[in-house]
Order: sequence, then C-alpha cells, then structure tokens
Amino acid sequence: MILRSFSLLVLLGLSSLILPSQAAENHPKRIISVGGQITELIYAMGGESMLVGADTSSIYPPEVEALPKVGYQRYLSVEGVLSLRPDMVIGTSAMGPPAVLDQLSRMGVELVLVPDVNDVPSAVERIRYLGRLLGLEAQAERIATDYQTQMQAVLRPDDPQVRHSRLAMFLSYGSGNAMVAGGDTLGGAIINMLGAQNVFADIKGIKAVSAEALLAADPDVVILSQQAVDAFGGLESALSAIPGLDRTRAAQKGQIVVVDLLQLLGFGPRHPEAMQAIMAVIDAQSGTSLDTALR
Amino acid sequence: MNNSSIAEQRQRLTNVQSSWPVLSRRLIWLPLGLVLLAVLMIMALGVGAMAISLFDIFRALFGFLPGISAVDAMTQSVVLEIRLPRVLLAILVGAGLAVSGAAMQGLFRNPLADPGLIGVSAGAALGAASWIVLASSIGLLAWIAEVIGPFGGQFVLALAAFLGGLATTLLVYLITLKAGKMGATATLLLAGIAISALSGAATGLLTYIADDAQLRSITFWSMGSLGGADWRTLTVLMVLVLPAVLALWWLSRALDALLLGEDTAGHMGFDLRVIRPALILLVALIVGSAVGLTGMIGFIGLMAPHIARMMIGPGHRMLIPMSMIVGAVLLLAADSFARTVAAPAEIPIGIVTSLIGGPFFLYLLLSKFR
Repeated sequence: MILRSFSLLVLLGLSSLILPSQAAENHPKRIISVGGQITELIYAMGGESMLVGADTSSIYPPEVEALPKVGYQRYLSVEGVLSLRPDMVIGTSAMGPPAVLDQLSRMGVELVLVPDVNDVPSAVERIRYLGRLLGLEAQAERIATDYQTQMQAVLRPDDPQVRHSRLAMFLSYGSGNAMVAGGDTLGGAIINMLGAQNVFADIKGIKAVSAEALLAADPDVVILSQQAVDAFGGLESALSAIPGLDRTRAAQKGQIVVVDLLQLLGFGPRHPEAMQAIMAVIDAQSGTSLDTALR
Repeated sequence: MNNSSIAEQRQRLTNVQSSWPVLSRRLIWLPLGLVLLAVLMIMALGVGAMAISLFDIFRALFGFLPGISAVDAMTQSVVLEIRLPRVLLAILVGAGLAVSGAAMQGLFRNPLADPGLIGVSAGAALGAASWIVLASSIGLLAWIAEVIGPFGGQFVLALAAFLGGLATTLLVYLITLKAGKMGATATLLLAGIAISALSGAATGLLTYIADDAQLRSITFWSMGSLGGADWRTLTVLMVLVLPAVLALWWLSRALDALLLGEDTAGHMGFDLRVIRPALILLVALIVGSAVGLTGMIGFIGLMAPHIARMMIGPGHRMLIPMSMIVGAVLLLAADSFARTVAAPAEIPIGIVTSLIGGPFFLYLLLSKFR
C-alpha cells in the first residue's frame, strides 16, 4: 500500500506536487476540487469562495450544484479543467487519467494529491492538511477537534457488544448478486473503526456474493447505502433485490442501517453522525450474538 | 437461347467498359473528402472548453511568421499542445482503423468484418488489463517510473496492449497454420473468434481480481480516449502506423484479386501464404498501436470502409485512401463532439463511436440479409 502510494507520487511528477510542509506558503485562489469528500471539507472550512469547479462526485452541500462540473474524477479533460483557469487542482489518488494529469502539470496547474484516509487519525490529519493548503488553519483545527471529540463519543471499539457484532456492508447492487465491501476497502475500514467484525473481511475489494455465501456469513447488522435504496425506490424493494438477505439474522430482526455513502465514507464533519446511526443499531440488537458468544 | 445469353453478357461487358467515366466521376469523392476533412480540422481546432476565436487560433498556429502578432502563452499552448496534437491523433487513429477495416473486409470478403476479428482488440485489452492489475500488484510500476521517469507507466501500458494484440494475433495465425485443412480464411475467422473469447475471459478474470482503482482504470481504458494526446504519443504512433498503412495500400492489387475468390487470386499469381500473414501482421500493427495508446474505439474500422465503398467502389487502390479520409472524418467529428458536448467535462470517445456505429451496423445487417 505504501509502495503503491509512493509510486503514484512518482508517477504524478514530484515537481508538481506540494508536500504538506511547503503548503503553507502561497495559498491558491482558484481551486478545482476533485472528490466529494474534499469538496465537502472545503465547504465546511468556509473555503468555497476559492472553488471554481468540482467533479461529479461532489454532491454535498447542495450549493455545490452551482459549480461547473469537470466530469468524473478518473476521466478529466485537459481543456475542460484549463477553461476554468484554476491555479490548483486538489484530488485523491483516484484522479486521472495519468496522461491528462501529466499535461495539466506541464501547463502549469498545480496538482495536489490529498493522502487517502482510513481511520480517525488520518482523517484528522487530512482536515489539517487541507487547512494548511488553503490558509484556513483555524477553521480546519475547529473541524478536526470537533470530529475527534464526536468520534471518541460515538466509538466504543472495546465494548464486547460491538466486538461480537458481525456486520456486512452493501455498497451497490444491480441485477442478481449484491456487492459487498471486503476487508481492504474503505467500507471495511469503517467496520474496523467501529471495532465490529466484517463478515466479508476475507474478500478483497468490492465483490458480488451469492445468496448462499450471504446466508453462510449470516450478519447481525447490515449497512445499506442510501443511494442504492433511492435507486430501488424504497427500502422494501432494495432489500428484496439482495438474494438471500431476507433469511439473515439482520433482516429477520430488522437490524438494517441505511446511510448516505458520501457521509459515511467521506470522513468529514457528517461522518460521526453516520457512525452513530450504525452504533445505534448495534446497541439495539435483540438476542444478540453476544448471548450466543457468552453461552 | 444460349447465344442470346452470351450476347447479353457481351452487352454487360460493354456496359462495364462504358462505365469508366462513371468511375472517374466517383473519384471526385477523394478531393471532396479531403476538403471536408480540412474544414472539419479547422472547426475541431476552433471548438473546445476554452473559448478561443478562429483568429487567435490562426495567430497561435502561424505566430512564428513575421507580421503576425503572438497570442498569450495560455492560448498558444492550448492550441499547439492540446488541440492540435489531439486533432492529428484523431485523424491518424481514424485513418489507421479504417484502413485496417478495409483490409480485413477484403481478406474475409465480407463487409461486416472488422479489425477485431483476428483477435487483436481482445488481445490488446488483455495486455492492458494484465499490466494494470499485475504490474501494480508486484510494484513494477514504481520501478518503471524510476527507470523511464514519471509517466513512463502509460507508455508501458500502451506497449503492453500493443504486445497483447500482436501476441493473440500471432496465436490466431499459428492455429490457422496448424489446422490448415479447412479453407484457411474460414479457419482464421473461427480461430480469431475463439481466441478473442478466451482473451475476453482472461480479461474478465483480471477484472474480477482487480481492486477498485484498477477496475476503474480498466473500465475507462476500454472506453477509449484521445484525451492524453501530445506530440510524443503522436510521434510514436506515426512511426508505427504510417509505414503499415502505406504497405497495406501497396497490397491493394492483392486485395482486389482476393475479391474474386482465394483460388482466383492464387491463379493470378498472389501467393496467399505470403499475402495473408502480411495483411494480418500489418493490421495487428496498426490496430494494436492505436488501441494501445487510445484504448478501445469501436466501429470506425467497420463503418469507414463501408461508407468509402459506397462512394468510390470496391477497387482497393482508391478504396484504401478513401477509407482513410472517411475514418479520419468520422473519428475527428466524434472526438470533437465528445470533448465539447459536456464541457468542461468530456465523455468517452468509445461511447460516441458506438452510439453512431451500433445503428449503422444494424442498418448493414438489415440491408444485407433482407
């Protein structure tokens, strides 16, 4: 993982990258934010006046709709980005394609890759990093502190009830099989942060699971994305679209949480609230697997 | 009865001879196509997410001449470093795919043939997917970046796709040699389909084991893009594609002979044991390098030669240059659309060509088998 991030840094051309230590010097004035989590953080810090564009994954807060959209983060257009005359493009390792990034940096646009995040300390570090980058240190510090405090209040990773809870997170699903978050995904990281068990921890990436595998795993709590529920036009039809789910403990006891994906995976100011929603269902389990475990 | 039918045939022959002026009238399509391409080039240079006036584009292009005042540096580099290479890349790739299509339709004597039939596209996709998934997994990417420098990775990706396309094509050809008893072209077709399906399965497997980031890289690669066009990519492609295109043109008489049937072509002195592999190799070279650098761009190789044939007839000496012009026009138009319709965002070029090509293919099917 470290190796891969490093290779990405090398790939992007070190000259065009701003490292955290140098970031404080000259703050950008015209920014394109590529990545919904980053856009949300920039708004939370009150840096939206610097934004001249965003990608299509930037959907929160609603005001972001008014910004010109540069398209999907992995399919940026050189001229499209340049037409907004940015002095900085802030994105994640998901930004691409590489040839376009190469051209952008050769045209004098500063590309900043914000490090990936997978737990509370790295989320706090990212908030502070963005603050330094934009010259909004004070606002960033307030958001970071709030985030830390709220997460500490919500998370109880050592609570036996939590530790014995077996979770499954469904990210997206179309026809047939449902796609679950494996151990090495951001969704998997969320379950780790909670301190619970991911029934699909052995799966790498986001994969489809069969009805039988879902029954064998038999999660206590199921996390669904608001986006998928909306796409199916309601919880009932979303649930019935996952083969085998209706026979799991989670479905039979109604232990299902629906969360907004950007809120849950964005690691921003709205993150603790989403974690709280999951914790509430974990706490409210009736006849939990804890009983089974203690018996 | 018999006599009259011979007389009829004679009459028909005379008709063919007297249709020579018709042929030369058809030749007007060549200069007409070139003019259309030139106009389209100017239009393509004139549109884009950045608003640049035609006068400024002229100034950017010819700023080196005395008496023309220079434009600002930004406009200058957008025109010279972004739009011009991209326009030229669209022309080169469109022309290359079209010529390959014309050669394949000639070899298979079937207007529905496309360059993908010999396995080159599926192989290129497999090569690209292998590189994206396997190389980054074992840290090769970092090593390449150190050795070749930043962004060496994308050139190696193109190389991997190119080699994948070449390797599968070679495999298809070797199978044809081994199972040479059937009509060799039919075997070639079947082997191409089988190897394409196998490569597709292997690509599917790689897609399955890929992580989220790799998966999206593969997806976007397979949708194609001319987005990264710069003078380096253009030079590399030009060196690979232009000689191969000329060689295919040089083979037009053999392609003409093939239209009369393989046996006839043999009797006319064209050794198919040489011609067939030459055609396949040249097509694999053109399509492999184009697909490697730009990803999958469908339907140009099918549509362009067909349209060109309707304009200028089946003789390959004229059909090949006409296909080049039509292919260039089609891809340039499609790409200009792809990069401006949703500006400042851009939509994948493969989607645009398939949107035009799908209905066209259906039209071909329906009109052929009615």
